[in-house]
Amino acid sequence: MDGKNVIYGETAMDRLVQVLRASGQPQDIAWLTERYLELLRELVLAEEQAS
Amino acid sequence: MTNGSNGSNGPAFSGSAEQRALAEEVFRLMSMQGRFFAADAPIRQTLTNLAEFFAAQRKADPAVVAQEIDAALRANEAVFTREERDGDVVYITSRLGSYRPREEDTKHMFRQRLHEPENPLPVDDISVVVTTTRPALTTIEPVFISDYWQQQAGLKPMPSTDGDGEAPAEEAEAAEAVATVDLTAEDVVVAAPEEQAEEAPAELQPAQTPINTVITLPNGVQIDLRRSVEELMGQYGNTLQNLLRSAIESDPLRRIVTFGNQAYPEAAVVNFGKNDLRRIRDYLLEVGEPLPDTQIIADVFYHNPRQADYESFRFALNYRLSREKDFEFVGVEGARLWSTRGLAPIGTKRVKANEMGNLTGYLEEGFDDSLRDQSIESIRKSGSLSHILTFFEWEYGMLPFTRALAALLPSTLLHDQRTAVLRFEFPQHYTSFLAELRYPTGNRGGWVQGLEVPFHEYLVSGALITISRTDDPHVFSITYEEAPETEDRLLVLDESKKTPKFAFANLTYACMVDTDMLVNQQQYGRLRNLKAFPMNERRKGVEMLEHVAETIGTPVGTRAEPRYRVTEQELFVGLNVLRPASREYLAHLLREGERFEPDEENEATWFFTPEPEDVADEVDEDEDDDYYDDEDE
Repeated sequence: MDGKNVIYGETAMDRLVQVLRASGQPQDIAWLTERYLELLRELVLAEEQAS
Repeated sequence: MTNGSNGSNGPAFSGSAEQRALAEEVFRLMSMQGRFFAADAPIRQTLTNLAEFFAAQRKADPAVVAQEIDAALRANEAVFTREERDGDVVYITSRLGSYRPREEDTKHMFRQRLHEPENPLPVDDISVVVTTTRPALTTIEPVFISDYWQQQAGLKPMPSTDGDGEAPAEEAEAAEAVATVDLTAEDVVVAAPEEQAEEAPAELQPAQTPINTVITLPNGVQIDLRRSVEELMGQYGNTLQNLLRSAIESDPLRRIVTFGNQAYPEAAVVNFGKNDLRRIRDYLLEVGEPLPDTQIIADVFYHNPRQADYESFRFALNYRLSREKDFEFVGVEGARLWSTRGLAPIGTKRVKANEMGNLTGYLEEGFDDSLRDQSIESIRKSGSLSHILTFFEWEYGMLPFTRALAALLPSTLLHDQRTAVLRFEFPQHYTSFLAELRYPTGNRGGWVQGLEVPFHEYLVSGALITISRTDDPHVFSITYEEAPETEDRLLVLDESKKTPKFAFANLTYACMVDTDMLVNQQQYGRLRNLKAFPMNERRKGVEMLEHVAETIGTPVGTRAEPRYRVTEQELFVGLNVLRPASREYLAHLLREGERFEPDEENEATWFFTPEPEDVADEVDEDEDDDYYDDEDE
């Protein structure tokens, strides 16, 4: 995905919910932010690798 | 061989008469088998089954019958489609008399239309345009136009194409058109391919532009996602966390819920019924004080920390209680305490919360000088804070929530949290007391209340105390340096009569004191004439200071033109009898006070000239006499 189309706090939030749920217990906001950045990086860099 | 038909509706059969009869019989049999099928639905039957069926009817050898059937059906290929599967022969027909594999027409399907001719709308773009979430407010969304249509409109260059791809079909057409022109205008023909050849590499350039990995945060900051997560968290950690938290909290679907610094999917949070909440409330009322979540879980729900879902259950309890009106969170990070409606209030009832907030408002106005002697770093590092009790603090069992105290005490866990319940231990007496920390709100200051009993029992105004952290985040200790027992006449507030009045009484204490702050009769005898103003009047700093100066100051004027000389120390002690105040706040009041002027000869000494009073207003001559009597002493 092009970085300009990423809306921080909206894009990939469903996947973040899945990740959080899969962790099995409440997590810190810091932990959640790191996972969210990882998801966004995957989205943006995946297209770069594909091209 | 002759052709025959089984009637007006059936198919025509070929082969010998026997074969036609057999084929017709097989067709009739299979039509019966699929009589509820769609007219063109395939009806399948194996040769083995058919042979067994007919062999049983004719009482013949199944192998021979199988050969006959096979021959008969082979002769009618138009009716029976023959397939071999797993070593067996399967015949397929339909009620219409022949089997034709169904062809699905997908030409007009939505997916097909979107993806032809060459995937004009990338899936990523669709995920942006088609969203499952509905915005709370109507917003103007940017319109994303796919690359394909932009290229068609000439807004973007055409993508590069491979030599053996399908795209050259268009180029071939263009070449044909050029060839047509070739016949009439030779120059143009020659130029056209050259231009195309030259432009092609130039057009390739934008298509190879690297993907944009920079995202813009809601606050305008741009971050490059090529950088590692550790780097990004190191540089923008707080911003990213705050923005994510805001996004989570403003999500209309509430997919993730938070409590303090923790987050969990809402769908996974356990619900608590009315009966559960009633049991929690009853338990809190029974114990009579705010309790930690762990104790509630253990004693009310019998949940064990070793259980796998303990942490998620704990989160659910805290989250659900935070949304109930009957419960108030009064805990801190590491000790999540819950209070409920009906619990006895902590702290003095003599001063209302809004009055105390006004009295400590000077801290929020920038007159907090608590860090003059100790830095925040040293307080945090040592985990302790030294403090000299003033009369007001001692009398009402409170401590102003200064920046020094804020460095020691825990901050709020929830953004709308107003109070926290702390426990203060007095290890020298093996006692502990609950205290309530009221956090500052707006221009109202914060304070700790509930220490009236220990202050009166163990300490006096002017006592030097040390407040220290313990291992428990909501438990603190107050210690003091012990000293030989001393008896002195100290200032007290006598509230036994209708009108409260200051007086000196014999008190015994056994703690080290700052003698300048010890409000005894010997040093500050005139303070007994202070008027115990109602609390709502004490917030007026200048008026209080003028009253203190008039009460404690040394008269240097005449009866007609009274004037008082007073030191800053006397003013500080006197003002802190009526209300909490810092030295910086005192200095501010002195600067702002129109009736105060500094004594040029003596440092930290001021003259106070009261407003001239009418003779008729001169009352309480006894009190005036007291001043002069004291002076005479």
